[in-house]
Formats: sequence, C-alpha cells, structure tokens
Amino acid sequence: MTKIHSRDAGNPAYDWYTLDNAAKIYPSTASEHSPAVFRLFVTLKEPVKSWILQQAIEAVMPRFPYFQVYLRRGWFWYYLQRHHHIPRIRPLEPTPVSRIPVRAGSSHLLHVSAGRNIIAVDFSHILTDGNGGIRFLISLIAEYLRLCGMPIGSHENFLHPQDPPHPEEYEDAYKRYFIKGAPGPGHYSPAYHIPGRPAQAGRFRTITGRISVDQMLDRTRKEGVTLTEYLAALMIYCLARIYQEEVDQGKKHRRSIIRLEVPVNLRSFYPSGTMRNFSLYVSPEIDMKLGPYDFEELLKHVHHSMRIQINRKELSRQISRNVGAEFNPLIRFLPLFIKDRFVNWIHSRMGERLYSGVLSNLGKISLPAEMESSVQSIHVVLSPNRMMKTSCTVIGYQNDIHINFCSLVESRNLERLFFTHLVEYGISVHIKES
Amino acid sequence: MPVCKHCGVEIEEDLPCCPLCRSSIHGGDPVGEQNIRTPLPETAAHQKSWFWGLITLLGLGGGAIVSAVDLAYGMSITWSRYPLISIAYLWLTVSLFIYLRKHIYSLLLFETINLGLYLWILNSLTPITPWFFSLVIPLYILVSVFYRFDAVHRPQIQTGDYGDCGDRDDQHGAFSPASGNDPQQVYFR
Repeated sequence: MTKIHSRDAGNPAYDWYTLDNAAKIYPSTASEHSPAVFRLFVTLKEPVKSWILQQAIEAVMPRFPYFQVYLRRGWFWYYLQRHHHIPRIRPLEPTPVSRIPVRAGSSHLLHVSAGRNIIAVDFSHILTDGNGGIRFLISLIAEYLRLCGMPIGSHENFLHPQDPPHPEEYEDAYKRYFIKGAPGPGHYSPAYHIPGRPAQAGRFRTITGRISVDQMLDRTRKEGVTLTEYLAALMIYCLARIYQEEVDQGKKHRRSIIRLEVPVNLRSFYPSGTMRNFSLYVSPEIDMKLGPYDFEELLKHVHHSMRIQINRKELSRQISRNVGAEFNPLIRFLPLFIKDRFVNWIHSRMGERLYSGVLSNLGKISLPAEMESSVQSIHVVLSPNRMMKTSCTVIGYQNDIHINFCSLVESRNLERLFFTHLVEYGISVHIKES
Repeated sequence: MPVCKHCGVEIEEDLPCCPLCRSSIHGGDPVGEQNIRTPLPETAAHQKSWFWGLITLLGLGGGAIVSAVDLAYGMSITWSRYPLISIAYLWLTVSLFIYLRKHIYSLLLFETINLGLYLWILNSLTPITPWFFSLVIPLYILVSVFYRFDAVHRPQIQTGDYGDCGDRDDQHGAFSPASGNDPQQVYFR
C-alpha cells in the first residue's frame, strides 16, 4: 500500500491521523483501572448469526476509516495508524467492557463482540465519544439486519456503507472552534470521592436499572427540570448522603466539595459532522461545609448551575484551555516519554481528582420502525476510573431508560441510594446485575 | 417479577438476592457493606515510577550536597559544576533507560544526544584547548560506522507481523478461518 502522509480532511488514501484534542490525554493515562473504554450494546429479539455479523462488519468498516486504526507512538505525539485488517467478532465475555490495550502493538481500538442475542461494540475513547459510537453501532446493526433480509430504509442516525465518508467526519472539531486568546475556565478544588479501594485491576461490576420513560418524564416535568439535571442532582444527593454517613461515623474529610462530571455533546452548540470526540463537561457541585442539602433544594441548585454552564460561550472556555495547551510550543516539542509523565500528572491533579463522579446521558435513541421490531433494548456502559470509582450512564430507547452503574468497588451503597430514591417517588425500577 | 422487600425494586428472576442490598429474595436481612480491602497489585508501571522517583531524589540530594559544600568553601559554584553536570547526565541516562527501553531506536538516539551534550558541556567548562569537535565528533562517527556494520551483519530475528490481526485475535479467542473455528456454523445462543 502506498503511504500517503497527509492529514487533509477528505483525502481517501488516509494512512495516519492525529488524535483529536480530547483523545490526546488517553494514551498517556489509560491503565487497567482507568481504561477509558465504553461499551454500546443492543439486545436483539433473535439470536445473533455470527457469520452475518462478520459480513456486516466487513461492509461497514470501510465507511468508517477513522475507526479502523491502531495507536502508535511518535517522537512527540501519539498518532493513529490505518489498520489493514477488519476487526473480527469476538465471543461476548462476561465482563462489562473489554480490555482494549491501547499501547500494545497493532490492536484495534474497537472490539465487536456477540453472544446469544447481544451485539456489543467496545470503543476506546481515543477513537470517539458516545455520539460517534452510537452512530457506528446503529449503522452496524442496520447493515446486519439488511444482510439478514430485512429491508432497512435510510435514517439520520446511521450512515450507509455505500456512501463515501464526508471530510467533516474526520475533523478535530475542537480546533475548528478554538478562539485564540479566549479565557479559560476557573480553577476547581479537589473533590470528595466515595470510599473503597479498587478490588482488582481491570475488574468491574455493573448494576443496571430499567425505568419507564413516561414515569420518569412525569416526574421531571413536575419539577421543571430536564432528565439529565434530575439524575445529576440525584447522583450528587446520593454522594452527599454517603459523605454525611461517614461524617456521622466520625470520619473527617479534607475535601467537602461534591462535583459531578456531566458530558455535553458539543455538536448541539457547534455544528460539526465529526465522528471523533467532540464533547466536554459541565460540573455541577455542592460544598458540604455549607450544611446538608435536601433533594428539592439540590435539584434547583443543579438545574440553575447546569443552565449557566451549558451554553456556547461557557463551553468555549474549555476548548480554549484544552486546545491552547496543545498549541503551546513547550508542550508541542516535549519528547513523548516526558509528555507521558507530564500528562499523567496533570490528569491526576486536574482531572480525576476534581470530580466525585461522572454521569453521562446519551439521550433517547430512535431507530426506523423496521429496526425497532428487531431491537429489544440498547445499553451503554462506561468504564470507571481509579479516582471516581463509579460511572453512571443513561440511555433511552422506546419506552425504557437504562441507567447503568459501572464500579470498581464492592460497595453498592451509591446504586442502592440512587434507585431506592426513584422508588420512593413512585417510579418502578427493574434491576439487573452483571 | 420478584420485588426486594428492602429496596422496593424489581429484580431479575434468576438472581438469588437483590443486587443493591444483597438480601435474599425469599426474605432475610441485607448484608452489610463490604468494601474489598485487597491491596492493589504492584504493577510494573508503579515500580517504574517508584524507581524513577528514588533516582530523582538521590540525584537532587547529591546535587544539593555538592553545591552546598562548594558554596561553603568558596562562596561560589566552581568545581561542583563537574559533579553537577555528571549527576544530571547520569539521571537523564537512567530516566531514558527506564522509559524508553522498549523503544530501542529512540533510546539510542536520545542517549547519543545526551552523551554528546554532556561531553560538549564538559568541554565548554574545561579551560584548555577545545577537544569536542576534534576528538568527540570523529569518535562518534567511528562508533556509528561500527554500529551500522554490526547491525547489517547480525543475523535477523524473525518476528511475527504485528499487522496480522487474525493471529492476534486468535489469542483472544475470536473466530478465524486459520484456527479451524468456522464462524459460518456458529449460532450464538
């Protein structure tokens, strides 16, 4: 194959790509405890036919050339090298997310697994965010069902394998919307973290709660908040209760801030068709030194705090800080082995340490009617990290909302408080564990 | 659908106890919170980081002692520049080895630059006829020629193609025609 070292968007002979701005941190910081991997999976109504699924992958992958890559070390930066092979499906293992060894040789950065009636795709965050991942998954399922003989029309949520990739799909959209000289966000102090040490490297457990969209939206409408605001407030409330329980037991905390990381899809604010990472965070928080909060009070606080933070100008502060750091000549020309250490240090001091937890809502996924008759449910699992220990992900499909907690620690206190609170407010919760 | 008496949530029928409170579906009290206190495995990365920290501490300590002695003796930094430069060189050599030992070409390149820089600084500090360009550079070229000669004539070790995904995937138990595991006959159930 002729090597064309060009990163110009739309060049069909791409051989290597730079990492997008958000992805740059993951190769240096990924570990067994914090693998930065998320899984999207669908449960079909019929058992999966593995040979058809493999054909579907082979048909779909060329449509997503930016996902058919592996990670390589340069002298100054990591980069993504085009992989010559299509990933092969793996049997579904009983772990919530696959281990994707990002720094080991030529391993693909996405894994496709299947078992019984489940099709799962694990993505390293180096490749994409939830939005890019869900479009890939739905495109794969659509092609699989098409190969099974089902007529599938076109839909905004998936990309047709015969269409060429649009140049915008490759872009690092953070750079497009970077405003030089714009002020960065304020500084945060370290946050409280739930107790418990990670049980075992690379071992996670998950608890998934299924609730009704109608019941949940009735509740949020009564409160005048969005679903994300409600669930974020609830998670902070549960963390606050754990904090208070520890205080009541005589434990003294150095850190009294409970701050949540809530990812925001930037495509809603900055038009871009990118399939790579393009999301940032808002950070609702409370300070427990001000005294205990009741839920209604906390809900109002989180609602207003998120409304203030979720707008184009406020989000551009983070773009300015992150992309500005990438353009800093001192950082650019630092050799990678030193940069690795530096990024690791920055990430532990200014990333994980500042947040008590993460709650990611991928929103409601809609499929064409002919697909809905074959797809029973859609789920998302986000690997937790060493500091926050537990991650919470939310996804809606048809009349169900699946809330998944993926945790490194054995304690289920957070999940128990979260779901029993919903039950107290009259919302039926169906629990499943894996 | 069974409902947990303590939490009020519905539970999958095949689960023996509530995943949230660990109480039995057929009655019984919740199991107390059990945080696993298993010590974290000491990974290679941790050991590497710990060793690098120790080397850095030793280097800084040694540098501080040497500088302090020199300052105490003559109120200026004179002879201590040589041990200071040597400590910095050794620290960088060990650091490069720790972090680049799996990347042999990068290690060789940076070690070469490191040594060259060290000798050049030594030469600059020495108040005699410059010897860097007349002695060090020719020696460098000579060593490079020998190294190239050695590398060309050394028997090559055959390694597997990293790009061959099929073989690698076999190790993880994925399907591959080469493994005789024909996916066309398999239904997942």
